[in-house]
This record gives sequence, structure tokens and C-alpha cells, in this order.
Amino acid sequence: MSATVDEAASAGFFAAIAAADEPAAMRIAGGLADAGVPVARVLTDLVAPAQRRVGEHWAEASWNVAREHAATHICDRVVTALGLRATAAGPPRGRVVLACVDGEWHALAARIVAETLRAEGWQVTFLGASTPADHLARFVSEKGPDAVALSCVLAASLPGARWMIEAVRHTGVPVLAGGPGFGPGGRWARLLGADAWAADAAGAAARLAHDWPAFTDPAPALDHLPDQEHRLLADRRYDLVEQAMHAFTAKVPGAAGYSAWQLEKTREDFGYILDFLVAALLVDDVSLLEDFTGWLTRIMAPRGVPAPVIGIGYDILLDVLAGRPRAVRMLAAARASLPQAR
Amino acid sequence: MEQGPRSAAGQGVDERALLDALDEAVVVLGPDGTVVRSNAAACRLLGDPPAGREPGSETVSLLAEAVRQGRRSFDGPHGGRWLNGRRVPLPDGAVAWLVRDVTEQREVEAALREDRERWTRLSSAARALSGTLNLRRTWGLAARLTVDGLADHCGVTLRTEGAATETAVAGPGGGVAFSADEPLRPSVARVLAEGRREVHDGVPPAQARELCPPGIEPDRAVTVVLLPLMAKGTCFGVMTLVRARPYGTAELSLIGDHADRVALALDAARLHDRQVRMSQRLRSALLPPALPEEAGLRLGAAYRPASEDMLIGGDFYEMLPDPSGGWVFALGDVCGKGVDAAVYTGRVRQALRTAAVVDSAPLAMLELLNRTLMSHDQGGFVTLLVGRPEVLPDGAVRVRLAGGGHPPPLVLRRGGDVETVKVTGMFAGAFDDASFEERDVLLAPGDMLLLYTDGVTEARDDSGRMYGEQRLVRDLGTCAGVPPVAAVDRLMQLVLEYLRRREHDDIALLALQAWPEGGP
Repeated sequence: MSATVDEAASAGFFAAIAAADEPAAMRIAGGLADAGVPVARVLTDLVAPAQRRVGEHWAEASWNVAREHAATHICDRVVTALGLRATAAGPPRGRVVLACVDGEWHALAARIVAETLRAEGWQVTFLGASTPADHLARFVSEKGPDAVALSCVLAASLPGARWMIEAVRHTGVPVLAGGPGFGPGGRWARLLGADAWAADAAGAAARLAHDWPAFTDPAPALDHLPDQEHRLLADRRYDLVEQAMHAFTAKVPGAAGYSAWQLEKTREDFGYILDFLVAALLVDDVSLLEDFTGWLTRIMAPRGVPAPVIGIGYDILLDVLAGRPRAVRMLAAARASLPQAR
Repeated sequence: MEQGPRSAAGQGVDERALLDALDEAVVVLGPDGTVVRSNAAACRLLGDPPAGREPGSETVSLLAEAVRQGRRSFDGPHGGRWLNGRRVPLPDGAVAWLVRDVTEQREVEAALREDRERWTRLSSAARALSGTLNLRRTWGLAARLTVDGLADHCGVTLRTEGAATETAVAGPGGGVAFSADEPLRPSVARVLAEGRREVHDGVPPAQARELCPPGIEPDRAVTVVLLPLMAKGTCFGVMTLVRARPYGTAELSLIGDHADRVALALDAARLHDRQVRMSQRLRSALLPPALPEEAGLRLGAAYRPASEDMLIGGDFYEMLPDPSGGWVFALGDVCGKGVDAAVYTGRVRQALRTAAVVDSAPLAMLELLNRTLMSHDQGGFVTLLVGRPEVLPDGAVRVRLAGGGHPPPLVLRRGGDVETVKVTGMFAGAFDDASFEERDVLLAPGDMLLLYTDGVTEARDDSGRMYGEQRLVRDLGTCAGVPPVAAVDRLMQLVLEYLRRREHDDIALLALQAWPEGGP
């Protein structure tokens, strides 16, 4: 077939989801499928890029939450509708259970993987966003799939990913990790015990199709870790955030005038930084926190928070975390990577 | 002058006789590298190294090679034996090469290594088998793991429901295929009936096909072993192993152990399979229903039970077709958690279904429900909201709501304002004379009605602070223009993030949006 996803279709589709026009979005996606574009291609070349643009609009704060959610919802509906028309090519394959790791709420990429695998003949069960580890383990032991695919978009969920990999491998089922949360080239996937990693839906389908092991041994211990600092921080997250808030209101002159909403947001931000720090400590890789810091700087700027203010936040956390050498070292390195850092 | 007992004892002994008496081969080379002498064992092991010449093609190449390269030892195969040699320096620049035949030792080592590998593989296989309780996976794995080290082909035949049998077959490629056996091979039937092992060596292909379950078709002479899979004294399956090479006695006993482990795992999985199918059937009646597609309305619902491993709980929502047209919805929360609450929830939902058939007016339904629950008092009670939406010609939706002691629903106006809908009333199932309230809510196109259970507002953070209605109102306000499915997903996400994996009560959300064709 020569039919492909062209620029006009992409532009039209994005305009449709931006205007929350579900019928128009369905028409474009369905039209491509009718014209002979394989469903897997429509998913990866039309829907996935559109969803990435939704993410960019969110990052630039040019869309509000409602608009972003409406657009994501329409993409989700389109994926479902396309999935229903996909007919499996080739012989029937085994069963795959797909889940977003605990704490991961970005489900659309995983949905696209689910429909792509289904089109390849796999029996796919998608457990949805933020699946609890024990729920997944019970489901896996009951269903006995040939593979569990775990999706992680934000690296902050890596501690959750580790629990799930341990829980699943304990049942003997091999784990395929996917998504940018597992780091560039999936380098943290192997480290945390995944049997394999794939960059995207097509990669996942290819990896499962060749030499997929029938079973796996329990996940190896995390030998790379010099200490358990990530766990100590995670356990004390609430206290650490409260200490940081206390220091923040004492140190930042304008904080006294903050509304309850603004204080709540600040509390959340301290929590996010700690979550990424915990993940960086878990994989013992400062680049995780540096990448997060760059991303945080990018999304905060259009929300009126310049890099120096983020620097103050990092300074406060550095004080709060004094006595935790590895955490302090990582946070200081990430602090130094801030633009216009003092 | 050396005058020790050693040199004294050496006096007068025939050195050649002494050397020839050694089991070890000895070849002495002079300072110029030529052979000075060798003993009888050297003749046997290395050929006869000719005196006066350097060791060359006449002798063992291993030795010649080692000498040429100036190495101090060698270790390798020669003529079906395994030789190990080392160089010992002698006075005046001469050296002796001492060579031993270590064939037996190496064989024992290799056998031990192979044995250890096999045991490692088998214990890893046993672990893999016990890791899952799913029957199909355990079954397929049993065949596949057996092929990995113990056989060229393996079939695992099990009795399934009734008298039928089915076989999982794995071959050298590693794939597993299931097939129903029709008719059962006499050999397999015999082992199933008698529970005794059968070993057939050197079986020609045609006969092997008769012995093996379908899917195993050897093209040369093979050994076929049929092993009973036993549990509680009865044989419930047969494992068929096929290999070109015959099995030794030790291997047969290893295979027997392996079959016992496979039988244990499969028996547990069979039992679990029956229980899972039964509980799934029971559970499916308690799971939330699918939402109907209704012109003029958009619906969304989300549910998270407190007990993640049961997937059922005390919160519920329900969408019931009204026999006179349209739909009735309900959302409620029975007291308690877990299985007991889920069972009571099932009773409440059943009673609601019956009530909807008798009278679909929400208030009448609540009164009927209360009477039904009171008629067989189980000590439970339920708070709930029942509603009946009516799509008006202008695209608005009027919802008649009746309440029984449930947290008040919220309305999100299209512009983002949130209003609380006061519907009081008593909970149902506790008092004969319970009274309930009814009121109408008008949703303009784009407006959304949200029903929730107290699992939302009573979610607590680390300090024990509750999520609360105020925060729910604020978070719902950010959902203006969001379709109900996406709105309830977002609210669920916010509540679960607030909880951060702490224990929580059941959580249920149901949203209805007035949505005329083409949007508001």
C-alpha cells in the first residue's frame, strides 16, 4: 500500500483534538485506515505525534488542564476505535499483560502499544494507568501471560517500576520495559531487572516476536547501590516536604503573601523534586536529576517561575538533606546545571 | 659431600627399573633438547620417543608443541585419552617431562559438571513451574522446560473436564502447541490407567509415532519414555519424553524426580484453575457495569476498591434500563469493606434492579429498596443516590435525584463554577420508617453532575489530613469542558496521588454531562 500519514492528515488531526472535535478526529484516523494505512502506522505516525504535541502545549502552559485532558481523551477514543478495526496479521501469538507502572498516569502510549500488539496477533490485557504492584502480581499469577510489558513515561516512577519488576519476575514471567522513563536507550530498565527494553510500540512488537524467553529467574539484587538512601528519603518524604515548606516560608520574603493554593503548589513541587531525587538515587545516576531539572526549568518558566527561584528551592532541600551525602551530592550537581545558577 | 639417608638409599637401585615402575610417563631431555631416556609408561602413552632426537612427529604432538614453545605444562586430548604433562628441571640443564593419563578423572569431572548443570536447570524449572498458578502456562512450561535439557521432544497430556484429554507438545524449537487427543494413544491410555512408567529403547519411527501423542513424529530410531503424573494416589496425566540417545539409569531417576515436581505444580494449578473460574463467575456479577451510550448524555465512571486483590468492594455504581424508556443510575456505599461488603452490595444492586422494574421514580425506588433490605435483615445498611435523567428538547438534561444519607453530589457548570446539590435523607436498610428526599437538578448543555463516595473526601495524607469536599470542589472546577470519562479519571488520579499508596476505602465516581449532538 502506498497510503501513508501525510502532513495534511497530521495537521487536520491535531486541529481536531485541539478543538475537542471527536467526530472530526475519528473521521481523519478512520479515513487513513480505510485508505489502506495499517492501523499500527496510524497509531504511531498520527496519534502518537499528536499526543506529543499535546504534551508540548501543556509544557508551554499555552493550554489549560481541561483542554489537555479533552485532547488526550479524544486520542484515547481514537486508539480504541482503531483497535477494534485492527485484524490480527499472521498466526495467533501468546498473551501479554500490559500495565503502567505504579505512579505513572500517562496511559496513552501504553494504549498504543496494546493496540499495536493486538494487531500483531497477541492477546493483550491492558490494566491501565498506575497499576498497583500487588494487583499486577496477582493478575499475572492468575492469567499466566507469556510477557508483562511495563510502561513508564516519567522517571519519578522508577521505584514503583522496580517493585513491579520484582513482583512479576518472582512469578517467572519475563518483563519487557518501555517508555522514556527508563532512560536514554532504556539504560535503567536492565539495571532495575527488566528482561528487555523497547523504545516504542514497533520495538515492543519486534522484541516479543523474536527469542522471547519462556520464563525468567527472580530479579537480581540491586548490587550497584552503595546505600539505601533512596528508601530513607522515600520513607521520610512527608517530613522532608514539611521541613522544606517551613524553611521556604521563613526564607522567601514573598511567601507570607502566598494563597493556600500557591502554598499547596509549592508543597507539590518540593514533592516532585524529591521523587526524582529518590529515582536518581535508586539508579545511582545524576543525569536523571539533571534531565529533570532542565525539564522543570522549561515548564516553570512559562508559569512565571524563573530558574533562580528553582535554585532557591534546591538550596532549601540541600539544607534539609544535610547529612545524606549521596543525596546532597546529586542535588548539588543538578543545582549547578540550572541556567543562571549562582 | 652429601651424606644423607636419601642418597644412601638410592645407591645400587636400577634407575631404569624404577622409572618403568611408575604409572606416570617420564621423558628426560638433555640440555640440547634431545631425548635422553624415557620409561615404559611413556612408550604406552606417548609412542616411543626416540633417544638422541628432539621430540617430533613420532611423539605426542602435545609434548613436542610444549617443548618447542618452551612451556612448562600441557593439557589436552590424544588418541581418545586426555593427557596432562608438566616439566621438572633437573641438574645440569636437563629436564624431565612427567605425563599423566587423566582421562577417567576428566570424565568424572565432566559427568559431575553435567549433573550439576542438569540439577541447576531442573531446580530453575521447578521454580519457574511454581511461580505461576495459571494452568495453561504451567502446562506449556512443563513441556518446554523438559525439552530444555532432558529430551528432544516432550508431550504433557492431561485429563481435562469430563473424559477428554489434551496435550502440550514442545520440540527443539522451543514453541509449545496444544492439541486435543482424539483418539487417545493406547500407550498414553495405558500409563494413565496403570500409573506405571514405560521405557522403550531403539524404537523405529513408525512405532514411535504410535507410542507418542500427536505432534511428536520422530524420523529416526528413538527412545520413548512415558511417565505418570500422579497426585493423591491417582494418575491425572502422562509426560512423554523422546530422545535419539537412550537414557542411563541415573538419568531415568532424575527424570522421575522431574516428573514428580511437574505433577505437583500441575496439580496445584488445576485446583487453582477451578477456584479461579468459580470466583470469576461469582465476581463478574459484582463488577461495575459498562456504561450505556445515550444520545444527549455523556457518561463517565471510575472505581477503585480498597482491596486491590479482590477487585470488588462496598462501593458501587449501577446503570439500569428503565422498562418505560431511558435509564436509571445509582451510586452507593455499603457499610464495611471486603467480601462481606461486596456480597451486601450485590444484594443492594439486585434489589435496585427489581425496584426499577416496579417503579422507576427514584424516590419510589429508594423506598422499595429499603423495604426489600429490611425484609431479610442482615445487619447491613447503605448510603446511596438514585437518579433518572431526562434529555429535554433544548439539549438540557433534567435529573430527578433521590438521596439516602449519601455525600451530596456536585454540579460543574460549563463555565467552571461548582455547586453542591443538597439531597439529604436517611440511609437504607436500617430502619423500617426511613425517609428519603427527592429533588430535580437541571443541567444546561455542557454542565456535568458528579456523584462520589466518601472514599474520595475521606482520603488521608501522611499527616492524617483529609482530601475533603473543598479540595474536590476546587479540583472538579479545573475540569470544565473535559469529557466525563476524562474528568473522573483525573479526579481519581488526584485522589490516589494525594494518598500516595496509603491504604484507602473503596472509591467510586460517576459523572453525567448534558451533551446534545454537536456539543453545547
